[in-house]
Amino acid sequence: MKRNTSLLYTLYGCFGVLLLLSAGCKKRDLSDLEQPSYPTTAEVFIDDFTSDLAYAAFGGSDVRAFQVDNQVVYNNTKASMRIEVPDANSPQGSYAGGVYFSKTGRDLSGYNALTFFVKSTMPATINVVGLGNDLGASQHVVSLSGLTVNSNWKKVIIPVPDPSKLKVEKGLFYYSAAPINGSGYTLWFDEVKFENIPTLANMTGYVRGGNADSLTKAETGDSASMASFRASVNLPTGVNETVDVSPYYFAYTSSDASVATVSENGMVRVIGAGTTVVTATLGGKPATGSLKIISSGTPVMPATAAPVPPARNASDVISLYSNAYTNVPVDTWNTHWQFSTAENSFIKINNDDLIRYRYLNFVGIEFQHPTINITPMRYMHMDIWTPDPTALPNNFKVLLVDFGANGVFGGGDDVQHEITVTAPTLVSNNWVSLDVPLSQFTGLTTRAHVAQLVLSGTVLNVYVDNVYFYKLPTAPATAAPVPTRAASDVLSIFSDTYTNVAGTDFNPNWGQSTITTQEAIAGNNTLHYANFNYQGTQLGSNQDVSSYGFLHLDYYTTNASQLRIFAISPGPVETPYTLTVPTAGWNSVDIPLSAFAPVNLSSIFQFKFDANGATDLPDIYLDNIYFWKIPAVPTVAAPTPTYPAASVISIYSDAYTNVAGTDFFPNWGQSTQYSQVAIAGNNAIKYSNLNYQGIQFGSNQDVSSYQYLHVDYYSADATSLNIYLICPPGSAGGQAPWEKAYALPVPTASGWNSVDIPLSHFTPIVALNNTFQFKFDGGTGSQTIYLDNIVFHQ
Amino acid sequence: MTYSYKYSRLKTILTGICLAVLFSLNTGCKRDAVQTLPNRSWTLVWSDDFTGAAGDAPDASKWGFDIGNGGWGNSELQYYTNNASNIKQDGKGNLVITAKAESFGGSGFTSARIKSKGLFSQAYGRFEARIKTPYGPGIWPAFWLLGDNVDTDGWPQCGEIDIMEQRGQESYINHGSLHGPGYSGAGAITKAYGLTNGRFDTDFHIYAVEWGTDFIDYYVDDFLYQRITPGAVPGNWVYDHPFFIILNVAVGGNYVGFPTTSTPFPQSMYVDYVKVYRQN
Repeated sequence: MKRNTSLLYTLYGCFGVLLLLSAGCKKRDLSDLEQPSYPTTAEVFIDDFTSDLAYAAFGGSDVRAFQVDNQVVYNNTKASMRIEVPDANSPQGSYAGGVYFSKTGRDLSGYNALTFFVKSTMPATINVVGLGNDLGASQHVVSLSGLTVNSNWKKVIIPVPDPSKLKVEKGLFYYSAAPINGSGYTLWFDEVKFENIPTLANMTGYVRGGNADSLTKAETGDSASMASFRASVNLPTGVNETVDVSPYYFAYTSSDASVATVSENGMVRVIGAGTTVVTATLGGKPATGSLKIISSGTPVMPATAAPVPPARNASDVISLYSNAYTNVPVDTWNTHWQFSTAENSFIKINNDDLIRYRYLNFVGIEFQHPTINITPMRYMHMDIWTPDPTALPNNFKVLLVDFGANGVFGGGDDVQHEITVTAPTLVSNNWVSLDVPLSQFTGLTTRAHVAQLVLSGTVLNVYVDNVYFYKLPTAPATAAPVPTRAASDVLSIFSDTYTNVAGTDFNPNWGQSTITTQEAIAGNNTLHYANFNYQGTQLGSNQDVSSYGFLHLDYYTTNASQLRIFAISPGPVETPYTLTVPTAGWNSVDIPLSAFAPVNLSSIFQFKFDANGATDLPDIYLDNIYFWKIPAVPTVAAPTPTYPAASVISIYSDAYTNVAGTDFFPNWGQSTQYSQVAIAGNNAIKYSNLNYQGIQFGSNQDVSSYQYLHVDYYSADATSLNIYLICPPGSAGGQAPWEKAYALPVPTASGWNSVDIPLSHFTPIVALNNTFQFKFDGGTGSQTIYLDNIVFHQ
Repeated sequence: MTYSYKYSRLKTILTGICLAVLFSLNTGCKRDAVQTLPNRSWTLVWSDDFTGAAGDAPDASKWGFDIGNGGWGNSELQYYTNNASNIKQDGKGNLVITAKAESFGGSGFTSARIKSKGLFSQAYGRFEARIKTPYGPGIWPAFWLLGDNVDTDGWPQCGEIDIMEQRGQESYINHGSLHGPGYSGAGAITKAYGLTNGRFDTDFHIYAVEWGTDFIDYYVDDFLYQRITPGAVPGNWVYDHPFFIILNVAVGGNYVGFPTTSTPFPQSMYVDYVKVYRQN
C-alpha cells in the first residue's frame, strides 16, 4: 500500500487567539444549567484557519493539494486557500478533495448560506463543493455540483436549506476537484464564511426529484426512497441555484401511517394495505414532489420451497434457474415488453431462491447471449406456485421460441410452440411440478437456438423455480441383471454369462445412422446403439431355435420413443416385436418365439432393431440377447394342490389317495416309454418318446358332480400336446366319438404349467358320470412330458 | 362613491429599510426610521380588485390589451398576447401576468401588457397598486402611466410616469422614473429604492405615486423615497393632463438586458389591486 485511504493529513488552525477573542464576547454564568451553547462563529477561512478548524483530505486524493497561500488572495487580504489539483494518474493522488471541519462544532443556525470567493488558473468545473460533511453521519450535507470557475474571482453562495438544523455542525466546507482533460490546475478559495443573506429567496425543496410519483402495486414489506433530494434557491442575481441536500433537512408525512411509514432519512416502508401519500416539508414549506403508495397488503407466498430437483449429470440438464444446478446465462427474467404488466422479484423461501411474478399477464424471458441448444434434452421442467384460483378456464401457458439457425429474432427461421396447463394439473397454493416432454412442443421444430421463454395465462401471481431442460441419463448406471438360466438351456447371441454364437457381426453396414459400440457398464459388456435409427445384427451362422421357447433381451433407453426388434430368417422373412420404451431402468423381456411367426425358427440368421419411424435418434443399450428353453428335466416339484381331499377324485397325486388300480402305461400300440420319477422328492409321471399314451382308470369314475380337471404338466420340447377325457362307447349321456381333446400349451416355457380344465368342455360327448380313460397325443415320438397332480375337483 | 383615505402624519417604518445608492433622503440603515409625510386626504375614483373567477380575462371595461412584438421601443424580446396562459385572474383576487419561454409569432417569449387607455385616465391624484413582482435575469415588470395624448403628441412629449420598474436580476431594487421632453430614455429622472434585508419578489408590496400640480411623490409601502418637482426636470413639466395606466412584464430589452439560460421561467407578476384616488 502506498497510501492510507482515510484521513492522512490534518492541518490545524493556529490562531487560538481568535478563539479567545470570540469567546470573550460572551459572558458565561457557571450556574447556568441550560444546554451548552456552541460558538456561532461564521468565519471558516478569511485570512487563516479559524481556531476550531481542521482539514482532512479525502482518501485517494492528493493529500498535499491544500496549502495556505499568501500570494494570490482576494481583495488584498492576507491569505487564501490554494488547492493544487493534480494531473490525472499523479502518484500523489488522482484528485484534490477534503473537508474543513470544526473540531468542536458550531451553532450556524443564524446563517442561511455558506459563501466564498473562488478563482482558478484555467477555466474548470469543480466537481463538488458544499457543507455538512462532518466525516461522520453527515446528516446536513449540501452539495453544489459542477461549479464552473475561471481566472476571475467569483463569489459562490451555497444555501443552507434549513438553518435551524445546524445547531451543532462540524462540517463547514468541503470540496472535490478532478483534473480537467487529464490536466491539473490550481484553485483558490478565500473569504469562506457563513452569512445571512436576505436576498436569497424562494427556497424550495424537492423530493422524488420534484415528481408526483406513484407506486400503485406496493405491498407490505416494500420500501422506497423519497430521493432524489434537492433544494432550489433564487440567488440575489435572480437565477435559481439547485443543490443536492441531505434527506435529513426534510420533514416527512405519510397521510396514512398504517399503510406506510417514513423515517427521517426519507426511506418509506410499506406496512399495510391501503393508500397513502408521502409528502415532505423543507423549513416548514411544502416540498415539491410526493410519493403515492397503493398497497395491497401482505402478499400470499408459498410456505415451503419448491421440491428439490434430483441430482443429474451436468450433461443431462440445461438449467435456467435452480439452486440444484449450474445455470446458464439469462439476459433477463422480465423483458418488460409493451403491454406486459408483469413485475418480477427474486425472493428466498427457506433459503431457496425463486422468482416471484405478479400482475403476470405475460412476461418475456430472454437468453440470447448465447442462445441455448436443447436438442439433446427431452423434457422441460418448471415448478410453479400460485395463490390464485386455478379452476377452469384458468390457465398457465409456457411458450418456447427458437431463433433458428441465424440465431436472431425475426430472421425468418424462428419457430415456437406454446403449451397450456390447466386444472387438474394446475392447482392453487401447492407447488406444481411441470415435466413436459419437449416432443409435446410440436411447433418447436428446431431447438438448437432457443432464446425466449414466455409465461402467460390467467393466474397473475406465480412463483417460479427450477426452470430447466433435461434428459434422463442415457447410459445405465448399473449392469443388466446377470442371467441365471443353465447354459444348456441357452443359445446366446450377446452375453458375458454364456458362450455366444461365434462370428456374429453386431454392426453390419445396412446404411444406418446408428453408432454401435460395446461398452463396459459396471464391468459388464453392453451393446450401445447411439444416434439410433435402426441397426442389424448378422449372426455368425444360421441358428435353429425351434426347440427354444423364448428370446430374452435386456434393454435400457431413457430417450427413445419407439423401439422394435425383428427376428429374421432367410427370404428374408421378418416380424417385429414392439418393446416398451422409454425404460425406467433395465427392462428384461422374454419374447415367445411364436410372436415372430411366420419367421422360420429353424433358420434364424439376423436381428434388426428399428425406431418404427421415430426420428429422435436416441440411445439404446442392449445386453443378454439369448434364446432359452426350460430344462429338459424338471428341477422342482409341481406345486402341491390345496383342494380339500373331500372334494377331490385323484387319479395321480402324492397329495391325495388315488383311485386304486389305475394303469398309467396300457399297451395301446404306442411308442411312448413310461416311468415314474421322483423330482425333488415328489413323484411324477414321465412319458418320453411320446407319440400318444393312454391312462386306464382303476375303476370308472362318476365326475358329474365335479367342475374341473386339474393337471400339472411340464415339457421343454413338446410342440403340441392334447389331453382327452374318455368314456366307454355307448355310455348313456355321451355320444360318439366318446372322447374329446383339450389342447395344453407347450412347451411349458416357465416350468410346470397348471391347468384347471372346466369339465363342461368335455360335454356332451363325454358322459361325465362314467369316465374311465385319459389319452395324451401331439408328440412325434421324440418329445418328453412330465405329469403330476391329475385330479378332478369341485 | 367617495372614500376618504387618510395617512397618519407620522409613518413608522418598522420594516428594515436602507437607502439605495442614490437615495437622497438619507435615512440611512437605521431601523425604526421615522418619516414625516405630507398630510393628504383622498377619495377613491377608480379601482380594480381583480375579483374575477380563476382564468377570467381582466375586466374589458377597464383594460385593453397591447398585442404583438417588435420590441416596444426597447428591443424587448416578448410577444404580448391576450392568452389566458399569459394573463388571467387567479380566482384569489389577483391578476396574473406570466412571461413564458415559448416560441410564438417569431418571438422566443410570450407575456402580456394591459392598459386603461380609452377606458380610464386621470390627471393628478394617487395611483397605487399592490404587486408581487417576478424575478430572474432579463425579467422586467412595470406599473406605469402614459399621457393619453401619446397618439397625437408622441413620446416623450406626452409624458411617462414609471411607478414601479424592476430588473429581475436585482429584484431587491425598485425604480421610480419620469420621462418627458428632454429627459427620456437613459436620461430619465429616476431613483432606485432598495431593500437590504429582503427582495421585492418574495411578497406583495404597495407601489404608488402621489401626483399634484407641482410634484410627483414616489412611494414603496408608503415610504416616500423620491419627490420630483418641475424645477428638477431639465425640460418641460408635461404632467398637467390625464394619464392612463399600464401593467406589463417584459422580457429582455435595453433596460434589463437579455434573459439567460438560468433565468427561471415561467415568471408571474401578481397584482392584487390597482386603485386611483383624487385628492380631496
